[in-house]
Amino acid sequence: MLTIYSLLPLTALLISLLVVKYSASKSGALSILIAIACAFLFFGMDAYGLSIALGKGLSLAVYVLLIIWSAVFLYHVVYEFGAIDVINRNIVLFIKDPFVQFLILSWLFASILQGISGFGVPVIIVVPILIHLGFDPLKSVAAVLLGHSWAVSFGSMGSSYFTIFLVTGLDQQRIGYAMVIFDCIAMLMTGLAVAFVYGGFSSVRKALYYVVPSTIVTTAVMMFIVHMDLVSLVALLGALSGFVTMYALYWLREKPPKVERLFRAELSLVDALLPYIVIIILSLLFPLLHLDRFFLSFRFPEYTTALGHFVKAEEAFSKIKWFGHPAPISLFAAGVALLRYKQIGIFTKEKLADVKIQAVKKSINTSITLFFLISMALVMMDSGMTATLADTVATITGGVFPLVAPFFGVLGSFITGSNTNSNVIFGKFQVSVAESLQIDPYIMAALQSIAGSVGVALGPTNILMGASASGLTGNESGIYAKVLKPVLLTATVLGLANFLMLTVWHTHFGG
Amino acid sequence: MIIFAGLYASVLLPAPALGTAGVIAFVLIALTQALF
Repeated sequence: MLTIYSLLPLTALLISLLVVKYSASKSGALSILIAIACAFLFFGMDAYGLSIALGKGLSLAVYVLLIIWSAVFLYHVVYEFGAIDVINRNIVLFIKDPFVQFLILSWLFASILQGISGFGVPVIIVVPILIHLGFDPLKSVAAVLLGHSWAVSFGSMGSSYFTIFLVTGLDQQRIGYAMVIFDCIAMLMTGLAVAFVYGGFSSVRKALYYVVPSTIVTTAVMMFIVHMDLVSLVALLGALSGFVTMYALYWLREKPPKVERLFRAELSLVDALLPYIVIIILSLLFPLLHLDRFFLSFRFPEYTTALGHFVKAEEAFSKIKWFGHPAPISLFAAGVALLRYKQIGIFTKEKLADVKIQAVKKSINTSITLFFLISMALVMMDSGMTATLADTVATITGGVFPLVAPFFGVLGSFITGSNTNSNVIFGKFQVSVAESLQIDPYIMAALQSIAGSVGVALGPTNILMGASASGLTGNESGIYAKVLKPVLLTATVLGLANFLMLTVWHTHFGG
Repeated sequence: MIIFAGLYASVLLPAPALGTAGVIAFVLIALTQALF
């Protein structure tokens, strides 16, 4: 019976989003209310326990939202002052082959944008460029949705990546290594999927020349960046290295004519790239200065529910490093960019006001939803609901669970449209099942995050944004039809890899 | 943020009454969001 009660919040979330079609924030509110009711009535959690769980949930939400708010603000600074346009136009100057344009823009350029910002930005920016270049709108939306999805988990300055280690409580770097392995598979699959969208199997064959080497280089770079602990730069530098590799391969094969002059409007290409250069420099600099002692964190006491579920005390929960958390870095980069715009003479107070308005508008719904969903996840965890659910799933599926595990990640993103939210909902659940089955929790946590990343291609917000960016509003089912099979195929391959790693090769990241 | 501050203060002090008030306030906000 307890299993049924522990399923109620997730079922309510699913029904309210998919059947009743409530907004994500409304569905989140409904689910947290049901979670609180179940925890209080059936899992022996009193008001004191609830206040601890909600306090933890809100402190985690603050951690993730600081990243989201600053990334959205930075994006709007560079967008409103024309930097994004300058970057886009210069890319097109260098690549003439339509197939290579299609692949590099939707698979790698969109992923670079995901590394910087995310939250639908790659879809909004790249889809219109592809359509402007003469590609079919439906193919353009599908390609960008699929193409950038591998970069979501490490993207947005690392918000999903931070979430998975925060909710699971596992070591950040070890999850990172395991995530890179799964992300290599996801990147390869999504690259080939983009080629398939372009022109079927003949394009897939043609794409192998670009996709395989670019994936290998990107994987190596991502592994190195995780090793260096520059977590907010993994997707950005990974996608950038893939982009450079693919362009080098194109240059070797096609020998394109030399570009005489770079495109510049009010900003030069270097000015346009300035905030990202600042982000890279600061992210490299801070770890060298050993400033880890400057941080904000929260303490929470231990607690035991009336049913005997013990929650250990937390001494430094949701640790926000002033010189390491992505938010101060993004805001500093935005500040430097604004100073440069002022120097050039394109800065106006009206534009900055616009930036603020757009950033607030874009963040508000995400923030409300995230507050509720993270709180729900923490109430479920601390009350013992997640552990109950995990035990039951482990008993029913047994050794087959590693094969089906990625579909939970995809489902989370499909429901909520967010890898971060998917990790919040299913991250701890996957790790609890792993512990019940006595398999490596790091691999399961990593798999959850990358499967959630791929599932973002099916996220309702992304699909709606893609439809509106391409003028396909009303034909969302057509977009789903193009994207669904590649996502499910990628999830199946991820499941097979997971199964092999856990049950055949007995791989361990847990030390 | 106010609710978060209240909840956090209640578990640190500890002040269970403040915690209960925080939980009730959180539930009321969620209810408002869910209903309207």
